[in-house]
Amino acid sequence: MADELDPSVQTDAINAEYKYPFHWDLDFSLNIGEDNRKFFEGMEEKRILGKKCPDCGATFVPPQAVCVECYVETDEWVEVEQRGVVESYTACFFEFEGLPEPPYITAAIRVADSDICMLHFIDGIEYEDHDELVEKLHKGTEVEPVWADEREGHIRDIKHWEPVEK
Amino acid sequence: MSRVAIAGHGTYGFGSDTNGRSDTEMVLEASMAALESANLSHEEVDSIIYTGQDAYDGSAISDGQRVSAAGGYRKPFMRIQNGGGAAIHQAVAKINSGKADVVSIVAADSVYADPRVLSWTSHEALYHRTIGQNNDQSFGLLATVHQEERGVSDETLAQVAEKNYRAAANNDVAHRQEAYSVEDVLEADRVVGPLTELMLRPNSFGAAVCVLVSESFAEERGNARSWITGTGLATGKYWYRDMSGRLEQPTLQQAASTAFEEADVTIDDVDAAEIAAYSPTLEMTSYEAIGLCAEGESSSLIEDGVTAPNGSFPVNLSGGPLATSPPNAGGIYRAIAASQVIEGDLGDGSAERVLLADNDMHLGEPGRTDAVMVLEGGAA
Repeated sequence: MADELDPSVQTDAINAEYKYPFHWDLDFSLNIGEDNRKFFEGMEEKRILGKKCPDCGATFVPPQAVCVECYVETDEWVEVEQRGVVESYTACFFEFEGLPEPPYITAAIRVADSDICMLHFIDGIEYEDHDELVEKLHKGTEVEPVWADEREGHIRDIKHWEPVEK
Repeated sequence: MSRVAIAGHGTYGFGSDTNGRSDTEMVLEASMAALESANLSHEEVDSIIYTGQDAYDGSAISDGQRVSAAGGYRKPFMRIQNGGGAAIHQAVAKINSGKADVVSIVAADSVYADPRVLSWTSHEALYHRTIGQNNDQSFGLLATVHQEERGVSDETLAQVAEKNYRAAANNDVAHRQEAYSVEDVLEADRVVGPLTELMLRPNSFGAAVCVLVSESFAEERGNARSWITGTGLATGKYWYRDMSGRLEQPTLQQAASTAFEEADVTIDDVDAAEIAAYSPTLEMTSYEAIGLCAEGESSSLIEDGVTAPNGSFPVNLSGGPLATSPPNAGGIYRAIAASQVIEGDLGDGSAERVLLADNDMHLGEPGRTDAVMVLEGGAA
């Protein structure tokens, strides 16, 4: 049992109400597989990689081992243009553990001509409140990645995406 | 297909805590109430299905801890993780295959953990956990698409919540029983995008048990409360990677179509619905997916009060997930509520056929399984 638990799980009234706190503290390790390894190696080199379906030609960024429509193995690697469009976004006003101080924006971004989206942060937009943000960001907004100076083969090697200046 | 009857049901709760009860105590109380309402003894139960998730139970193989309270020793006991609707679907299959005449479906929610951590702990780790994908953000992404593509206003979203809270005010087991106004909903704390705290479900605690019996058993005992005459189940891919199709809810469409075909009815033959909609967007797009209106026209159903408690096609007379949302027991509770609409215990008692639509969306939308059932009245 941990000595101190997060107050969000209401452990402050433990014995008085016969609530017994407990804590899962398990470390896990995951083999991410060949496709993801190659994708993250590309990120370290500021490259965005995807894979194509041999049957329908769909491109998947991030790469997928299987085409979700054809159920065949994807087999062709492609380096895609570092541009994306916002398919949807949401401004988060509540603090989630391990995430930026709110408000911040999470978006579903379709990179290059990918058939699927990837999730990431949007930043570089000045806004005061939600209404102003809604005026500045839309489905279809073009965005580009802002890379971290120090990269380690991780999705956060892209610090965030921001609207393309025209 | 032979009909399967809901012969009994019982609940403990629902609320923001368990009122000092353990999971075992709640399961026992709800199970005994369900058996009593079915006029059945524990010995007559052939099989138990438990539905729950380890992360929300705070322990691995958590079903093992509930076998005794559920009356499951010396009986086939199985667990399904992806929701009560899927568990009911499995129970119907078990009865129709001749494997059982009486199946009890059991769930409880008793452990408090921070849902905003838990929701993305349950998601795919590789891209999304580090980026913060979790249930609320998933609902926010969908709400933004809904507003941009269909022109839905914040006020309309709030009206969906308001009519659910109006219904919940008349449901004495609902978690949120206050009839919040549209203004209350709009002025509540904003959480993600246009969605305020009152447009998102609470985390509810309690237990729910539903007892299903075969048609021959129900006819012999005369204990049918309602009949399940059609079922459908469908699973889809990772929809948050494909935003353009998400508003159409194709898995709900497919599951509903299968259930309608099996029951030999159309949406025009249905009087009401209980729908697992975890945000106003999901409720509105569900109207379109089940064929209650054309694509993009759900706003008019809300504005005209069609799906309000006193409307011509009431949706969520229990208050729905915005009022009561236990992660494990939600699907079973919604089946109970659908049966109560048939039985005349929720609403004005005029519904002869009710659609039940459940899914595993309470975690957001990393994938999607929809289970749909058609419930009907009529004597055993």
